Amino acid sequence: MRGETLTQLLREETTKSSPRRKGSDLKRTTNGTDPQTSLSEAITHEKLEGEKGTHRTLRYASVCWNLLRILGRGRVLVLLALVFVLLGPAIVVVRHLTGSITQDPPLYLRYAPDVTVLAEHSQFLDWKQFPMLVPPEVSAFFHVGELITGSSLSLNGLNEIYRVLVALLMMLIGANVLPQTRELYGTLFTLPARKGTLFLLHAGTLAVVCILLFGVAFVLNAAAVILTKGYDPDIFGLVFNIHVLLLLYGGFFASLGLAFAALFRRRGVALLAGVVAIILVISILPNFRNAMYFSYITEHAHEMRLAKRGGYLPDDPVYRTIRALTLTPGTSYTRSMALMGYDVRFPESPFCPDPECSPGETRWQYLNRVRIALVAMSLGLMALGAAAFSRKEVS
Amino acid sequence: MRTMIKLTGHFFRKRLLSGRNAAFLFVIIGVLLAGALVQQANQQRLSNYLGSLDGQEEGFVFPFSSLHPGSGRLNAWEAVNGTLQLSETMLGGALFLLRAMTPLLAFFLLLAGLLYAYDMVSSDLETRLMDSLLGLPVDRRALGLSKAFGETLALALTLAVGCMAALVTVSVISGLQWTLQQMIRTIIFLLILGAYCFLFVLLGMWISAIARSSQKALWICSAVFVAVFSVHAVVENAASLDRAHLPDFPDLPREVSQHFEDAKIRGYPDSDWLPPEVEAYFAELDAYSTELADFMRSRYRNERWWSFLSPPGLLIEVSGPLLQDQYYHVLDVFYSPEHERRPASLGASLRQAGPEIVWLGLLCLALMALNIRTLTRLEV
Repeated sequence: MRGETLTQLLREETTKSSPRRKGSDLKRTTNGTDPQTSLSEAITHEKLEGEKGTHRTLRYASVCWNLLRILGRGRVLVLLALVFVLLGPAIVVVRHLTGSITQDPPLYLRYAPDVTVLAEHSQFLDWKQFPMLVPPEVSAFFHVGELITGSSLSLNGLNEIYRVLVALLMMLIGANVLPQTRELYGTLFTLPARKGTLFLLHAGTLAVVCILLFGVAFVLNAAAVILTKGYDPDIFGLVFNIHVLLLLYGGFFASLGLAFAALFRRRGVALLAGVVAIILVISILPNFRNAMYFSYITEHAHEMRLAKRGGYLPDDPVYRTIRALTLTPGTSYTRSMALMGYDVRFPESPFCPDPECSPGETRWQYLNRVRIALVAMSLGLMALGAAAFSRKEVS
Repeated sequence: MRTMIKLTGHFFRKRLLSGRNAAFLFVIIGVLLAGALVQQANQQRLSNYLGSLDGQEEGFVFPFSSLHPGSGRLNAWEAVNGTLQLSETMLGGALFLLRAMTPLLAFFLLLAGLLYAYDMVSSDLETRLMDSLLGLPVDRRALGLSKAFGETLALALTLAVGCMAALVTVSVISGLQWTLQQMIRTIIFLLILGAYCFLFVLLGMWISAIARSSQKALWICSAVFVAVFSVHAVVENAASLDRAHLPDFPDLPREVSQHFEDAKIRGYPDSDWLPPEVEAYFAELDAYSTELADFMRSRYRNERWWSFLSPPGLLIEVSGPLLQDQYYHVLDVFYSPEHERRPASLGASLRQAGPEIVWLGLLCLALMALNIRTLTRLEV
């Protein structure tokens, strides 16, 4: 960052856009005080002149525009965003060039073939009949070998790469939207708007940034897929759904960054807390959930089999906790991506194969539940941020 | 020398008792404990399943797996993991748990090291503490070395305590037994983990010194993390750019398939009494396996140098031979006939990981030298 901040840019912008506030005129308006502190008075003066509605809209639009400019001027953030949007097409092209995904996975044999073992599993010798891998059009997006999240990290699929990259990038962007120093807050709070409105403006701008970023990522990824593999409406729809999920997943971490920036005075502390929260959300929680899940299904194998056949789901606190943890962003993201990949491989059976899904629930119903949970958690974080922001006092 | 020891002790104590160190300890224990518990639970579940199969007295390793065409390193890594995991007798013990966590640790320690050190120098500059420090009658190089050693010793101690606490907790909870060799391998790997983390602490410290502002250093460290992450992702994917073709898997003839179906009903025949077509098919499989093993060996030899471009790849490459006690060489996982199998040896594993360990050490030394140079020329 070069140090440009919201208020400095607001000052520049206001000074440029309004002839009345230039140079000596501005000094005259503020009665000889420092011109840099006169922004709110100038705006109040405008307000008194009438034209309330138009000016308010322009003012808010100006705040949004300047926020976008701040993000635009953060060179590191721009660099990270560029890495994010270009990495997808790069991986898609590399996968295309290598042609590395085959439809018929071969097998390796470790020992000299043992007749009993091979015969026991002879169906695997004829593995070619099973479409085990996703179609090459979207193979860059899915690393389908591993459904367990958090415990391992493979960077061979964009789903795994984005799981870490999007969380970090969006948290950094979210934490960078609010002002960082007491002085800047002081100037911001002199604007004739309620704190809630100001926070809403920042949150709205953040939402715009998220949509723009993921929109660009979608366009580039879709273009790369179409250029390398040709147009297919189903594949196009799948790539779109992947980016909707990414947007909501990224939105959660952006809200987290924004809330932490409002909660903590120093940006460094907010960022460190954000990184710890990311590790907790994308690694520790999914792992604990998996550990609980594995030990639970070992103990309740019979009930789980019944539930899978459309029977009942266990209704006890442990199982409810496991199901709730499945909707946390780290797990729900990986599950949803895996189910989307599964949907491509097995479109004829639309039901969710995971016993944690409700009986008879389709994969897309589960996905919608995940989307709603992500939006609800983001809104919760925004509310937390708004509460912290509205309590901010500048002495 | 005495002053240097005193200064090192001061920086060590200051960092060890800091809130950031406590947070680091909490996170490292949380990450390792959670990962190790889930892997252990998963492995236990698979062991129970394999143990429940009829006719398998000693348990077996599945003789098949999907391959990633073009990637010898990835295939060797996953094949060894599969061997350790898909076993009734819990092969690998705690080594497997640490192994399963290594890809995650490679990125976690990278981030942790950078975040640990991003304000090591800049905060002293910002709070003017550096003025006082440089005003002391101590050589600047000694000061820089003391700071680097003291702070990283605190980090190393925290890391070792966190790792051991997590592994011992999992062992106690799950009743996991460690052999002496597994314990030695674990300790060696923890030392290498310390060196890996040290590398990024040194990098963070250097960034802190040249940025002179904590905010700026934090941004640069974030960018470095994302850059390393992206480079590793691209290297992993680009490793398969060589479009060498995997040998074709021999098709399963209908009569052989029919033979297996019959065997399932009537019981398995002794291998001495196999029909000729089944014998012929097994000979084909044998040839295929040998060809595949040769292919993987040549790919592995070429690809391992790719890991020198990416520090997380370096750590994963070191952990490949070190965190397993089943194979003399990790590539033995691909079709090693019984007469060629050699017992797992710590010396062989260390020799195999030698170039990567040396490269890691050289990187640490280079960054150490860079830090000392920057700190001695630091202007206040």
